[in-house]
Amino acid sequence: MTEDLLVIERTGTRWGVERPLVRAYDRGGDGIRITLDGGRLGADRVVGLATGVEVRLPGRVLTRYWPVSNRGLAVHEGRVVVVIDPGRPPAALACPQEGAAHEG
Amino acid sequence: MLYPCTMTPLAGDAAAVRCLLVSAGEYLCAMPLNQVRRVIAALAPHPLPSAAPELLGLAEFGGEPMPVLDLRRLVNAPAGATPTHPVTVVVWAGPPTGRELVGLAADAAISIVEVPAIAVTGASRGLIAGEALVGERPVRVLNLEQLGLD
Repeated sequence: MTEDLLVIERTGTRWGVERPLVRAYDRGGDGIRITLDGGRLGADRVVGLATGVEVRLPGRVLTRYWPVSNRGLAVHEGRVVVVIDPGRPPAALACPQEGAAHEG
Repeated sequence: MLYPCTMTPLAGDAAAVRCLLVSAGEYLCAMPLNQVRRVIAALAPHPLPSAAPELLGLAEFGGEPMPVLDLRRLVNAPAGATPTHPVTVVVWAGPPTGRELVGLAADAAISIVEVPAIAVTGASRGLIAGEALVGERPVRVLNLEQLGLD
């Protein structure tokens, strides 16, 4: 499947958010706040928009050693992007002041 | 990128499996050659938060995302000397019906050897199918179909 993604970075890892889910993003606190329909994410920076990228479902090996819910993996500008599960965003993307994101 | 053979392969055997011999810490490991896609200079994977210690991170290989695992940790090998030519061995992991590409970080690719099935001893423990003597050195023989399975 192909997706349009907002690609963000936090602590060296690149994450993708399905573009239609993004309501806004702005600078706040120590980084960037991304507002989704169901909450907010925090990031160090916005890398850019990736259009029509192929998203592959996570394989058995990745799931075995990294049990964080995600929609799959993509490659953008030579870097692997983890597409987040908006219903279960990773703790690494929690907004510091909110701490609402969770992983699992 | 394969290095010149520095060990004497075992004599040919009808039931022998051609394997890539690599070092991981203080262990030597043999993996079936037909499951090895490529050996490349060590990739620099990007780590993932909250990942198990065996998972070094994700890297791009051939335009596709690929997890990279630490072979030394997978086989519980004691740490060895700092490798001078570390490699990433890109292998097919998992059962034939659901195989996937995985990178295995190893200290060095050493040679290609033939491991007679009859020479593999010891109980299979998941990824490690058993042990064999290759050139009088103990070698862990890997079953890559078990990689990623609980």
